[in-house]
Amino acid sequence: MALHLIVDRRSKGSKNVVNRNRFLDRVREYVQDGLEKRLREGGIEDIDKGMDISVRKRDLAQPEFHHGRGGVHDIVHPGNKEFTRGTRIPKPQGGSGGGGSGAGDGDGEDDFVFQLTPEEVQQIFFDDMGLPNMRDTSVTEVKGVERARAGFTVDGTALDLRRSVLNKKMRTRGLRQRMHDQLEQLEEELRRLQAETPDSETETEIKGLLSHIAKLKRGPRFDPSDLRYKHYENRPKMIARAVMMCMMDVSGSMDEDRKDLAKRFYILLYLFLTSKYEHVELVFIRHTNDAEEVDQQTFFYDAKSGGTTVLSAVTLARKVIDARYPPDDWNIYIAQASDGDAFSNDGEETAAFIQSDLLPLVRYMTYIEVGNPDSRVSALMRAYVAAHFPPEQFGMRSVREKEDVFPALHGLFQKGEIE
Amino acid sequence: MSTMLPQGSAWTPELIEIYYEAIEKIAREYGLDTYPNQLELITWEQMVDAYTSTGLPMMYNHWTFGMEFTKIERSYRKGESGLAYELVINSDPCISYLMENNTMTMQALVIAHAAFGHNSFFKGNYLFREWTDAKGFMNYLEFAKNYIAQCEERYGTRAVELVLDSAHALRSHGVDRFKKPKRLSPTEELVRLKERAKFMDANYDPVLATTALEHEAVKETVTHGVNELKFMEEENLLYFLEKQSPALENWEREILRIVRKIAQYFYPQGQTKVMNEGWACFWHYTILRTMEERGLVGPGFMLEFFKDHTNVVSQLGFDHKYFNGINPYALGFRMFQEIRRVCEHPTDEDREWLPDIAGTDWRKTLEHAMRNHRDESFIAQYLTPKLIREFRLFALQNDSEKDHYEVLDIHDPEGYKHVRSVLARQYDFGVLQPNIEVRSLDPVNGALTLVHKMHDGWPLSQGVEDVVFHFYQLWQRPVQLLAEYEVDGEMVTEQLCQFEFD
Repeated sequence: MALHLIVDRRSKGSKNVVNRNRFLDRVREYVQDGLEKRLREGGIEDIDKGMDISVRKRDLAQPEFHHGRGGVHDIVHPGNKEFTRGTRIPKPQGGSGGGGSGAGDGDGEDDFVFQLTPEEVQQIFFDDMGLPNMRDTSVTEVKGVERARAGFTVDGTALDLRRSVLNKKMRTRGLRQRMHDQLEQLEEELRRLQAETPDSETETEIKGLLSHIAKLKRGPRFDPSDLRYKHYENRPKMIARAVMMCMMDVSGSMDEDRKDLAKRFYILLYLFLTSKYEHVELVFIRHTNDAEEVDQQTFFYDAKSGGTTVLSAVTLARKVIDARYPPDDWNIYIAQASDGDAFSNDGEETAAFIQSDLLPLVRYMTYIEVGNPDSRVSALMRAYVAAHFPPEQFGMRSVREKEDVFPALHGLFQKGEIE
Repeated sequence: MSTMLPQGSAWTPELIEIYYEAIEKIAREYGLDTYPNQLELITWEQMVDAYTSTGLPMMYNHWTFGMEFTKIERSYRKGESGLAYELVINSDPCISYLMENNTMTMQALVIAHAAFGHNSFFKGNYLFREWTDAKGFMNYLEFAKNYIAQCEERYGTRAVELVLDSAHALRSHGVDRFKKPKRLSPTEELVRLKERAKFMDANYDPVLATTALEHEAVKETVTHGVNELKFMEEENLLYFLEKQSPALENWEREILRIVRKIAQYFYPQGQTKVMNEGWACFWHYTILRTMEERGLVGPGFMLEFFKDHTNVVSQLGFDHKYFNGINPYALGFRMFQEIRRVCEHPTDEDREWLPDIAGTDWRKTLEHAMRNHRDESFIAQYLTPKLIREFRLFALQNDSEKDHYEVLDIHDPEGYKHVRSVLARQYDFGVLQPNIEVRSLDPVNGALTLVHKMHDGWPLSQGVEDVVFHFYQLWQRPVQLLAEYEVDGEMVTEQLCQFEFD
C-alpha cells in the first residue's frame, strides 16, 4: 500500500521573480529604451503605471536543430471524407509546401510584446539612477488595517464576474468548434425554409430555428464550476494626502537636459510621496520674470523666453496654498529646480519669503540646482545658504548627472527628521 | 452500493483526501502499481511557474523560463488560454499538482489521471525505467540548481547564461539514444566532480591548453601521427563537448553535463506522448466510471466530468477550422480502449489482425503493452482497423518537387497496414529529429566537422547556423556543418555553414 501526502504550497508564492528578472535583463536595451521614452513623453505620475515593451522575436530566438521544408514527407491525417487511393490534391498556390516543421521561417519580423508592472518600471528607473528599490526601504505610516482584494476563491459571497466569464470562456473553448458547426447547420436549414413557400408550419419552424440560433449566438451558459468569488484579506492602511508643488525656472538658460534632470528628480519625489501618502496631487509653477501655474506638459516642454524673477514663483506658491491646500488638511512639499540664476537682490528676497511665508506651512522643501557646469556657487544658492534654513525642513543639492539626483532627496529618507 | 461521497464543486483538503482514498481503492483493484503519491495544492501562478521551468518543481534559473512565464501569464490573465489541468512529475514519490481554481470534480479527475494513470506509467514503462531515475532525480536537480547558483556567484550570471544558452541550443542532441545511462546520486556526483577536478589539475598543460587540445583522444592522435581523427560517430553533441572540448573550464563542462542529464530525463516523455496520455485518460475514465457504477458520485459530478473528458479526447478532421494535428490524448485513449475491446469482445477481423491478444485477459494485455512499448512500436503493433476507420485515417505524401499531394492509402482493407506503418513512423524519434553527428577532427588546428545525415531529402530548417554558432562557442576551434545525402548510390556532402576564428 503506497503512502500519500497532501502538501499545501499555496502560501509559498510564485518563485519565478528571479527568472522574470533574468528575462528583463536579457531585454535590457528594449526596456531602457521604453523607460527613456516614458521619461521623455510621459507625466511624472506615469512612473506608477505599467508599460508595454516590444522585443524583436529574433533577439529571443532559441535555435535548435530542426527539419525544414523540403523533401518527401508521408503523413497520416484524420477525417478523410472522399479521398481514395491515388487521389491528387493540388497544393495551394504560392504557398507553404506543407509538411515539414517550418520552424523559424516567416515569422521573424513579429515582435514579442510583454508588459512591465508598475513595480518593475520603478525598479528599472531606480537601477537606471543607481538606486536601491525605494519602495522596499521607504518609511510607511501605518494607521490600522483595511480590507484589500487578494485573488479568487471557488466559494464565497462576492462573485467576480470577470474571472467567472474568463473561466467559462476557457472551459468552452473546446466546445467552440461544435457550436460553430451546429450554427452553420441551423443557418443552412433556415435559408432552406425561408426559400420555401410560407405556410403556418414552416413559419413555426422558422421561429423555432431563429430562437435556437439566437441562443447559440449568445454562447454557452455559466456552469457552477466557472464561478469565482472575490477574496479579501487585511492589509496595512496608509493615510493622508499630500500636494507636491513643482517649481521651475524656465528661462532660456534651462535647456532640455536640465529639464530632464529636474524631471527625474520630480519623479523620485513623487514616488517617495506616493509610497507615504494615499493621495498625492501635483501642482506645477513655472516662472521667468513672472510666475504662472500650468499643466505638466506645458511645464516641461513649452518654451518661454524672458528673464528670471524667483520671488514671483514662491509668492504664487503661497497663493496656491492659501487658496486650495490648507496645511491642516495637506502635507505640503515644494520642489524647486533652477540653474541658479538670480539677479540683483532677487535671491535674498526669495530666501526671506521662504523663511517667513512658506516654511511654516510646508513639510519639506527641496531645491536642486541643475546642470551648473562649474563649481562656482550660484547667486540663488548663495542666498539660500546664507538664509540658514532649518535642515529638517529644507534640503538643497547641485545635480549634474542623473546619478546625483537621488542624494539630493536624501534628507527626505532620513526617517524621523521630517516627522 | 457504497455511500455517495460528498458532492458539490468546492473542495477542501479533507474532501480531496476522501476522494483520493476512494480512487486509490479502485485503482488497486485494477492492479495499478504506482510510486507513492504526493499531492500538492498550488495556485495558478505556481502552476505557471512549474510548467515554465520545464515542468520541474526545482530548476536552475534562466531567462528563457522567465520569458515563458511572461507569455503564459499574460495569455492566462487575458483568458486567451487555460492552463493544463494537471502536471505530474516522474519522481518517487510521484508529485501531482492540484490547482486551487479547480472544482472538486476536476481534482478527482486529476488524481485519477495523474496520481494513478501517469504515475503507474512512469513506474512501469521500460523507457522510464531504463532512462530515468525517479528516486534520485529530485536530489540531482537540487544538486544542479545549487551548482549553477554557485557558478553564477563565482563567475557571474552573464558568463553562466552564455554557457546555458549554448547548451540549450544543443540539448535535443544531448541524449544517449541507444546506451542506457547510469544511475545518478548526488554523493556520487560530488565524488566524480572531485575526481574530475583532480584529473584536470594533474593533467593541465598550459602549452597544450593554449595551442591545441589537451584531451586524451586528441593527444593519442597527435602521438600516433594520424592527420584526422575518426570519432565513433558520436551523436550526443553535449557529451562530446563536455568530454572533448579544448576550450571549457571545469564548471562549464559540469553545466553541459547538467543540461544533458535533464534532457536525458525528458527523453522518454517525448517518445511516449500518445501512450502516456492515452494510458492516463484510459484510467481516469475507467476509474471514474467505476465510481459512478458504485454510486460514489452523483449525476452532477459525472456531467461535469464528461464535459471535461470529451474536451480532452476529441479529434478534429484535417479539414476543420481548428484542426491541429492528431490529438495524442484522443489516439492514445481510444487505442487502450480498443485493446480492452479486442480482449473482451473480439471480432473476426480482430482475430485476424491481433491474434495474440484477441480474447486474452485485458488487464494483463494492457499492462504488457504499457510496459514494453513506445509510441512508434505501440502504434505499429496495436492500432486496430476499426480505429483506422473510426478516425478515417489516410496517408498523404508531400513531395516538395511536385505541385500536388498524393493520397497513398486510406481506411480500407488494402490500406490498413500502410496507414498504420506511416502513422507509427510519425512518432519515431530517430526519424523526427535531424541526425547530426561529430564526424572528424583535424588535430593540428582542432577543426571539427559535423555531419547532418539526411533522409528522404529532408533539409535542416533555416537558422541552422545559429545552432552551429553555439556549438562553436563551446568548441572555440573551427567548426563546419556538412549535409550528407545519396545521389545515384553515391554519398555526397555539401557544406552548410562554417565558423572560424578571426
